[in-house]
Amino acid sequence: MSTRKMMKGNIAVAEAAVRAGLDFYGGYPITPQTEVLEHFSYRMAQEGRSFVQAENEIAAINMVIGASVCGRRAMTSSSGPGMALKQEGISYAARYSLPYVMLNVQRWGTGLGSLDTSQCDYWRETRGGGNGDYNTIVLAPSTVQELVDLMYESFDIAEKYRNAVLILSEAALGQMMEPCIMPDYKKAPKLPEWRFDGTGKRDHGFGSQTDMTDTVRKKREIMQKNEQRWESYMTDDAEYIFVAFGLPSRVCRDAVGKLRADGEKAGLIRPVTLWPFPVNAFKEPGSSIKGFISVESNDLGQMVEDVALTSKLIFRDRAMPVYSYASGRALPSVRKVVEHYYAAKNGKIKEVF
Amino acid sequence: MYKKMLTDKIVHVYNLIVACILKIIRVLIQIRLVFVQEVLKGMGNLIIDRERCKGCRFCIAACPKETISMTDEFNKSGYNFIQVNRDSCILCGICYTVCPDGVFSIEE
Amino acid sequence: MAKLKKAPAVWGDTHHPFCAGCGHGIVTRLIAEVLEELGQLDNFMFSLGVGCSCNLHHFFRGDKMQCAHGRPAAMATGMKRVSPESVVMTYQGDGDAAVIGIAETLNAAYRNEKITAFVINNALFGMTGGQMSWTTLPGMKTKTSVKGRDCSLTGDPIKLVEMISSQFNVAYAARGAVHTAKDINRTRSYVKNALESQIKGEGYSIVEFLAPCPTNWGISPIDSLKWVDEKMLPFYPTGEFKTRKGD
Repeated sequence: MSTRKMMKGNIAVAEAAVRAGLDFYGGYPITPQTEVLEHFSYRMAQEGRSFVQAENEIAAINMVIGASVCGRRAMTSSSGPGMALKQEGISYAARYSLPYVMLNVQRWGTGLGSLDTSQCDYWRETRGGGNGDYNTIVLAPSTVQELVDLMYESFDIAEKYRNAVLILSEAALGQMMEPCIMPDYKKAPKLPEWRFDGTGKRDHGFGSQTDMTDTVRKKREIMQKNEQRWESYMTDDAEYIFVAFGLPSRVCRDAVGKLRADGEKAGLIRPVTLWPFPVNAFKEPGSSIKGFISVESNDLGQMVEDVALTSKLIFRDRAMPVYSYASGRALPSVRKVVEHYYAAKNGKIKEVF
Repeated sequence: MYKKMLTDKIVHVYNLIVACILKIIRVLIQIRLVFVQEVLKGMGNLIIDRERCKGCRFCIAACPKETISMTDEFNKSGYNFIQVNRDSCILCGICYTVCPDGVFSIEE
Repeated sequence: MAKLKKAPAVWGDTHHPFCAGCGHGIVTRLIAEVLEELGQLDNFMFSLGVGCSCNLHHFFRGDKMQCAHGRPAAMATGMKRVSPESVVMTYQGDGDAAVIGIAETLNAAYRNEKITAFVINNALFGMTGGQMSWTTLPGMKTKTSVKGRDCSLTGDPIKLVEMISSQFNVAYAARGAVHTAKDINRTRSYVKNALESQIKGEGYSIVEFLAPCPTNWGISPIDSLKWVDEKMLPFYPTGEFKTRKGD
């Protein structure tokens, strides 16, 4: 194990992918993820692996599909508008159940948007994004160390289910420096049996369109059962629980500490997997629970819909109010989160669901 | 006058010679083709998979011996298919080359 | 009993789904024959786009993957980079390679990616029922140019092979026709050159095929052969536009 080192999020996540055994990277420059591309451009060459600076994001994802179908570990990375371009490729890869990894370093805004940090791609990434029925496993790290750890593990998850895995980073997380420990080089896995090797004799397991309905349903069920990940903080006796992922979850954690110091029973659920949404996390809190507050750094509040659907599923015997605090074009502040807590508690803001 | 008669005579003789040569060439070609045909017949066999035929007639247009024609029948896919007059087939393989559907193969 | 002339099993096993008189049948057979000749029948991968060309999926045995419309060159790039020892080919129509996918096609040529692009040019969009393509001839009637293609509004037809061979550092570029036995045999040699140049790692190779599409041209298969000869050949000359080094 190497020692702790200050590393920028984007560089750290790229290095983690190299150490996880990445064979092929295709990408295109877009702020705020460009450091990822830059890091791969020389590191992949050093390791004797393939790097292509593609002509656009559409080509990049299709190159990844080509490398993935040959059974190699492949990934691409981008930010909001670039990920939008990749959607057609993501849908095609889902049709053939190809495992690969994507990194979205989110930036704020619709259309071109801006370079500010944001969580505005929640809807698209957790809902599939392209045409057809499929889900991408979405992992949401909140620290640079977690970014590294999740990236390091992501290829194993992708290969386990033959499904795409997306790491949902944020502009600020990609740009900030934090101490982190870089894992050792992973032993290269055995090439999968289903891969293309040129002989045409292998069963690629693409499945027929007639069986597709059953296949995708079963696969979703298994992934939902196995892959829910979350972190709960002081939820046992909590009355109001924040639900937040990524950087806002760190703000909420501080807010919980502050509120607890004031005698308030606040708690936090931090989903690590955004799809599958950690439904089981909502079974943990005690009967003291009075409501959920979804805290997100986007304009409309996106995850709040999943929080509402989940609380409807878990709390069948009583209505559970779900509040939303969407901080817009900035990270939420502890002060604002605390304010929203009291506003929700005192009935000053209405529940969204 | 005399000069014109001479010229006519020369042209006539020339034409005769040319005609003779052409005739000889034609006969030679015929003989050779019959020969090749006989040899090839001993060597191989043109196999037709009528079920693959879509009746595009490319082979009919390309066959140098005009041995291929359409039948009135239909195959399982509903297409009119072709037939070959094996007596005049020289197994040149041009039908194989132009066929988009793999109807023809030539066996040793 | 040995077969003197018989299409390779990778191609010939199943009935293929093209229309009567479609050029795809001949082109795919040529590719199969050349793969067999070069001893690569168990060492090739196809990157397919969308259009009639993706019907290859249904009858050509071997590793083949279909990607989104126009992107085969990008997907082939990914395949070739991680499996350089395999023969990686794209099989696309003119709509796929020269219209929606022109960025991917040209960029693969620009990178001199060690893949082979097979582009079947029938001067229109075949699978969707005969709409104008960028390769549609001037004045040619299609479903979206009902009065004949007006080049003052649509621009002039794209000559993909000329563009690639003149602008980019590629290994091999040729255009062949498949409407007569003579042309088919010559085109076969282009396919062989293209694949050989890839196998020897010389770089990007492309072969464009002028192929009849009687269904969408609205004429009989036999007339479509004449149409290729009279209309397409004068506009799209056949031949090798970039020969291999050492040739």
